[in-house]
Amino acid sequence: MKHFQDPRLTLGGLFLTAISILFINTSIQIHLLMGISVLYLLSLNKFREAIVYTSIYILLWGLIYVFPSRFGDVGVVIMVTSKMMPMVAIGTVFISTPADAIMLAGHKIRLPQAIIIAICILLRFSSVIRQEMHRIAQGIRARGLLPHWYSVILHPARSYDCFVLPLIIRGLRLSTELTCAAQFRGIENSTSRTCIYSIAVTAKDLIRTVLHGIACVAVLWFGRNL
Amino acid sequence: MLKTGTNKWTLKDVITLAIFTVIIFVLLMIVMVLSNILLTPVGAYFASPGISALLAGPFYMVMANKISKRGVVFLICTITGLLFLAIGQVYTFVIYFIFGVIGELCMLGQDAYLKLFRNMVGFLFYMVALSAAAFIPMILFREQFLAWYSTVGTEEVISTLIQVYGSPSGILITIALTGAGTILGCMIGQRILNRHVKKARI
Repeated sequence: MKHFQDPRLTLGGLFLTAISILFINTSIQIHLLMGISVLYLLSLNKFREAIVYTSIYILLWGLIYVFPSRFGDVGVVIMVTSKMMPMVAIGTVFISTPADAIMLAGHKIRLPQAIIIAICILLRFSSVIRQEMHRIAQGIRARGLLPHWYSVILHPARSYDCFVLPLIIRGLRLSTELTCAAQFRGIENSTSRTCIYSIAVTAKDLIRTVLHGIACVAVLWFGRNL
Repeated sequence: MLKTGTNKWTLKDVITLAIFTVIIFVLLMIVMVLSNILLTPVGAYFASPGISALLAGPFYMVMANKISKRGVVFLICTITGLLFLAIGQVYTFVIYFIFGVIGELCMLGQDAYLKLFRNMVGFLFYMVALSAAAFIPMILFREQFLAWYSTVGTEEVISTLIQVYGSPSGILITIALTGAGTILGCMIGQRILNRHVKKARI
């Protein structure tokens, strides 16, 4: 049975990171928090994610240092994104947890079923939108309506018309399909839920979360004097 | 079980709300970034809520009509606020929550979500919350808000924010443009709903 860190612990780690981000003021604190988040990912053997997020973080800070006031409000977006990177990195662990495990953890803490389902859909559907848009774009191109990538800029009204309706219809069909699939798998069954994944709270997971929490507090407490 | 009565939320309603909220949120983000690049930051403050309303209106109309149960405005505002909270926008979350409550109160009454005008009102609250997240804190506690904003933005950006939302006329123009976008977006949505969704019985 494949083991995943209990989503409740991951959420705990995410919450601690989010709280830390709200209170940090200096660049050094952000860098330290990012370092802690990368260590958290490495401790969960998520090497690829650790490399990707570190690279994005370095790139964003590179942009901030090279062009400090060139971007206007986009600069704010870059700054906020870089500040949010530690949270995004930990969030990856939560997103990569199977929906079954998230639902079981949600049931254990007695979250309303509607909220658990909404969370799972929000996590899963974000990536589906891109695929759907790509499919719609392929369909439009096959009909010769917007032959080039820049046609969207040249004909914004037509592009809107071509994208909105298929996306609405696809969204409605997806909701029907997902409902049928979920009902078929017994999502509305009120008896206690089981899961094919092992999501028990192990000592290793607990120590990782506690150490992460201590590190976040240390960054908040000592980082302001650096 | 989620479904226990006619006015209770079904599983399909929850899934529809979640899917369309994600679509609308992604649209808001895309418009926000593109308008900053194409319209300059000042133009983006004025126009991006209106453009977002115009683009997201059809999605909202279809979603509201398909679900048509009490709580749609409140839940979409709360979920969007939570998504903004996840990217560090604390003020935006609070404003979205408050506007969600007010918007939902405006939707009281039978079949409110099936009526075009009522849906426009609900959606207007949802869209105004986007710009209200900047101008309400500016009005209520200007110093603290600008101090928080200065941690993420440059001086140039803060001066733009003061330039746009520092005067009542700037706020009124933004709300007027958002209202125009909402009306157009909802009307397009109603047309799509009548011409395509209802006919196809999806």
